[in-house]
Amino acid sequence: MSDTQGVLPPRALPLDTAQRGGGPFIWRFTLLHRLMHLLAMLTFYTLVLTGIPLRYACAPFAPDLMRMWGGVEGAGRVHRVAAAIMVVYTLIYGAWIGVKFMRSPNRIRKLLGYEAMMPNLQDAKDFLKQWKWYFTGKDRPKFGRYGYLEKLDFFGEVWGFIIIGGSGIVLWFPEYFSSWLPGWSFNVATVFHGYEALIAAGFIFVVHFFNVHLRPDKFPLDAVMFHGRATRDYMEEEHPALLRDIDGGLDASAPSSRPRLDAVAPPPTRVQTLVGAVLGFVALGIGVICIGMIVWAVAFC
Amino acid sequence: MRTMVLPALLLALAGSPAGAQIADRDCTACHAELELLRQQAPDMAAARRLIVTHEELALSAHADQSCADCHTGFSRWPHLPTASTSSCASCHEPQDGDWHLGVHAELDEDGRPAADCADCHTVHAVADSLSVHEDAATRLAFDARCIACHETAVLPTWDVHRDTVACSSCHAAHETRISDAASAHVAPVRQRETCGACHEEAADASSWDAHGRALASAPPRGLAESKLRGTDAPPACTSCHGAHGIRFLEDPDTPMELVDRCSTCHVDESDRFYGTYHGKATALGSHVVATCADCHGSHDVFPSDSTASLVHESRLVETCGACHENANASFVGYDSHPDPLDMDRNPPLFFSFVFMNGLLFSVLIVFGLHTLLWWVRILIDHRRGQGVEHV
Repeated sequence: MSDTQGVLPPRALPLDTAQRGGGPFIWRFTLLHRLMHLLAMLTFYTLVLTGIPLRYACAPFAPDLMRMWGGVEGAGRVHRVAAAIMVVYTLIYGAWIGVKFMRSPNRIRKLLGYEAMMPNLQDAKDFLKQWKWYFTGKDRPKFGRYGYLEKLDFFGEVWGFIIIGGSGIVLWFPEYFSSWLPGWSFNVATVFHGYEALIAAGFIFVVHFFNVHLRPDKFPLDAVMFHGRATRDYMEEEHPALLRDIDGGLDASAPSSRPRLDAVAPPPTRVQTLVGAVLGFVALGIGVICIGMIVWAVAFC
Repeated sequence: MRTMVLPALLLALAGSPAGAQIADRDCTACHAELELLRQQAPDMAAARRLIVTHEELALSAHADQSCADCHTGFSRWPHLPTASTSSCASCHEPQDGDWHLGVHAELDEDGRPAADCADCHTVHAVADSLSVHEDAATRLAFDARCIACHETAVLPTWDVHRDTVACSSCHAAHETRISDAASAHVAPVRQRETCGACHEEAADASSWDAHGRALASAPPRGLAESKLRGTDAPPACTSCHGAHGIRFLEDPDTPMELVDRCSTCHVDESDRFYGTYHGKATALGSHVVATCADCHGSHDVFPSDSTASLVHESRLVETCGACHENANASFVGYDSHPDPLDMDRNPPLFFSFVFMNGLLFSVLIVFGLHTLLWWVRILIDHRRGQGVEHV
């Protein structure tokens, strides 16, 4: 690989789908996106790994996993710290989105426009198109910046944050909440907390993992969320509508100035590539282990 | 040289008048001499049984007795045919009476009792058996003789009674019966008296709670039968505490063990308890969370509709408040043994359970298929040589 110099990135780890074709690169995610994703990963994994042994207390692995956290009380403390961090960054990020929205020259477009995260009719069409493509092999949907899968990941987390976070706080301070909630709400909160967590873990560790990393055309890893950039080849495959937009983005009628700013990105350095790969594979490994534990527990209990 | 002296001694004894009291040292003149006894006994083992030393006697409970107190008519040599050894019962009549009631008096096919006085007390080194309560060495010696036959009955290392309470304290020394017998000291209906000999407070307290009353009105039954469930087999001390292997309260395995014991009868309640945070944390070894006895009491368990019960609605705030400061009437409305499938018991729980399961399975099915079909599509395209390009 020593002969690859100049514009072509050193493909030290060609396992990274985001570097498919070797370049040129465009920007896919900003530093803030990546930081939020990293924080979400770290806290989510901590919450899952401290929560699983309690939810599946009857599973054979539960006592050992609990001991790893210093017992039920230790796991509880770690779980609450991770939850508190998640609440803090989520609220900060929410506020940031709010500020950006308020400052936006065209709030309607910011909220509902082509590049927005908000689900729209196109997403419903793409969803149906995707199923049609499964059966016919024709007319695969061409996603823009955010397809319905990214939107599902995002709003899935928002929904999970509200349900799991809300029930979690109720269960954290039951004495306080009992002053204005009925007693059965703690039973209900327990069910909501546990089941929504199961849905979240199942969605991330199966659906998200498969969509992003494990399907045969992306296997074994897509580190775009770690170093933030992807090749045009990759975008042609995954988000062709965005690429088309970027190419036409020099046109003044483009929805926003983003595509023009994103059009050229430096290739990820070796260190970035390596860090992305390590993070990705460790996370994938732990996630698969978590799914294994859940399946094992469901079969055992 | 010595072999010459001993027959002379025997002859000297032979000359003494019958019935005359003789000193113990006259007895041990022969009965401390193995070599001499060997000549008179059929074999070495029999000779060894005839050995009695001053030291042995001096340390025994019978130190003040003379040989002749038990062995009459032995003052002559050769010993007279009328010479006899009086039974232990001639002095220890009540103990003998009790022993005859117990299982150790039963005769085997050779006509020997299962265990006679000497099997537990030895012949000459009889200890003061009352000292089993104070003297560890005596206690261990006695227990060792029980364990010599009852090998599996040895208490495990974590047992609270190990090395501190003698076997006979619970099983009775003389009127020892098979543990499963309805008349045994350890039979359910007699446990309050047996265990209560030391644990007076607990025995008193448990005499009038729900378990105690049910037990008092229950027909006598053995331990084996009491392992049946239900109102016919109400719990005694060992039903909750166990027998051999009773753990200290601080033992990390105690909470789980107690819940397991309660769950022997209260199956549904304990199953549902294990669905809660209290139950799961208990199962994982937490000592902080509440288990059965923390809410229901231990020796004062009553049905929840009784005002004496710790979980009666009028006392719940106080009971839950023991851990949850600021618990209020709404707080104690929490269903601590929830059954999410029972719509009548807790409707909000039932409907949220159904809703969340619906959501879980919808997501799993829709996106499971979404994932699976995507995979299939890619594989089909790949096989047709279209690669992964789709444009």
